[in-house]
Amino acid sequence: MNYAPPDLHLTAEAPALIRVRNVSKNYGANRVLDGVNLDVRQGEVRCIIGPSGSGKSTLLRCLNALTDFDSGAVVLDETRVGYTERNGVLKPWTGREAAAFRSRVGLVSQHVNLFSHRTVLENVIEGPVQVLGTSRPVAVQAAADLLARVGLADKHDSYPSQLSGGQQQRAAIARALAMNPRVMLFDEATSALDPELVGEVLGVMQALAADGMTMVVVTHEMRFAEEAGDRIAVMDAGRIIEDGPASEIFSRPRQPRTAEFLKDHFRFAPAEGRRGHA
Amino acid sequence: MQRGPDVTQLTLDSAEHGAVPLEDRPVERPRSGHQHRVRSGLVWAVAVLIAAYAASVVATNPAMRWDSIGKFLTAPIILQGLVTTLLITFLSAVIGLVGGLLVALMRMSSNPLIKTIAVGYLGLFRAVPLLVQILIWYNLGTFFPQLGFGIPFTDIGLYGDTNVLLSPLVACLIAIGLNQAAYMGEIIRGGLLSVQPGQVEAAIALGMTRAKAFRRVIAPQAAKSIIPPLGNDMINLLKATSLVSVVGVGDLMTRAQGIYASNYQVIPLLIVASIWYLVLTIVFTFVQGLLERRFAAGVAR
Repeated sequence: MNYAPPDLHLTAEAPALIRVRNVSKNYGANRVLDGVNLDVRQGEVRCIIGPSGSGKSTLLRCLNALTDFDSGAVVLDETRVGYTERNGVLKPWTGREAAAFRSRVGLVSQHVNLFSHRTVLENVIEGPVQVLGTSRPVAVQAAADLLARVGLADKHDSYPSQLSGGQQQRAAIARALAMNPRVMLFDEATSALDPELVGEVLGVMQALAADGMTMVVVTHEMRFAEEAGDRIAVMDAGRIIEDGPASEIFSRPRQPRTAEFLKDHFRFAPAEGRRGHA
Repeated sequence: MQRGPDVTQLTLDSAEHGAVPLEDRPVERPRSGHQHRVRSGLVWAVAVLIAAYAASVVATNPAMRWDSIGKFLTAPIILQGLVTTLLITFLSAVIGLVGGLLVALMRMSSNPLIKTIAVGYLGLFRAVPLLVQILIWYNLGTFFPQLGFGIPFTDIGLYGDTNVLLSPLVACLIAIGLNQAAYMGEIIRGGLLSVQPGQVEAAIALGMTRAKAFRRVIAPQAAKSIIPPLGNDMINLLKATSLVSVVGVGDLMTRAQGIYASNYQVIPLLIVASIWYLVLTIVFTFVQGLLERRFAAGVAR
């Protein structure tokens, strides 16, 4: 992966890699997404924070078509999510088209979901071999490189049940990366882990960001958002209430709701080294 | 009236043991290994005695013709029956598996009509005794003399004589196969439900189509929890095929009955049949063990 330093002034001119326009979604009477707009630029680490139930995960799932939405549009890598152009008309995807699109977007979710009946190596080559049609030796070679990168070079033949939560999550990251995705989506990737295992996963994510991977990260880890995030969107009740560079959101939140949320999250964090907020 | 423990009594009891703290008082140890061996040895001795007595009663019974058991065990007519039994078992297992998968998927459908059809099928075929179902299919010709496909309310179509189309063997295969599909359907559904929904989502997120996710992720994981009840069900099926003797299809049981009807050696021939059912059950159990090991990958050790 070639790494171009994210020069925000330059990349801001080019159209964003992901464009979310006025997306709304209801579950019955419950409005989970309410006119959401969001841009994600090439090579950017885009964090989405906010209280539980604010619609962060739902928004993320709209990006790779795991969830559909009622109105609005999502464009990812110049693909209109959910539709294919045929004879100048946007037609709804077939199952095959949806699958082909998802193969270009990596997802790492809170519940690890490595395939429990396959070894770590088999998990990582499953996508390339079964979906992309990569030959097995090529996929194994690539998987070995990826597993070394996430620090699991000695775990090829382990089953997921034999790994710690942090190791499982790193294997899941390798599995997603094996598809050579254009974008990586992280859905609270560390929330289900024991506290002492969070660091190793965040470390892998940080290394990935440094390699120039475009990442959308839904997280409760404010330290990670602050240090690795380029821009932060704050969600509340299905809306993005504040959106801006990490430095601004954390030091000068404009919305009282953001300030309140950050205060709750930093209540027990050591004050030292923290920029003043609220 | 006594209310709660007698405090004075407790104090006296403790005083008896002097000032020894509770943690330093001796305890009675659990039964030793030696005592254990003596007890289990006694149990074994009694069991062996009872078994030996039962065996001697059977073996020395003048009606027990050991020579006929040996003779009929490998008699061609019995072996033909054995082949028929295996054939019915195998074919109805195939009908049961395919039909069961279909019923399970229909039962789990989000379409209420499809779901209702599956629930109705299960209710009907599990409620009516298999023996009754076999007799219904066997006697269908008395109710519908002609069977076939055609346009309703017209004479256009292909029809055949029911008694020709539904030979006793075919009638039994349909009866046992459809009954089997109902039971298999519930076993397969249980297996499918045991797969974590997140596993499917992970496969879909990786870019698999639903069909591929089913083949690569759901089916192998469901197989792990399906195999033990499936093995159980196959053994039940094997033995249930003996019911076809009521319509004389010529399975193992029919042959044994046919022979003892002429030579009156009822118990020896029933033992011959039992020995073969026992052998087949042992083989089935062995295959089940092999399959369980094959699909055990990834279980927490």
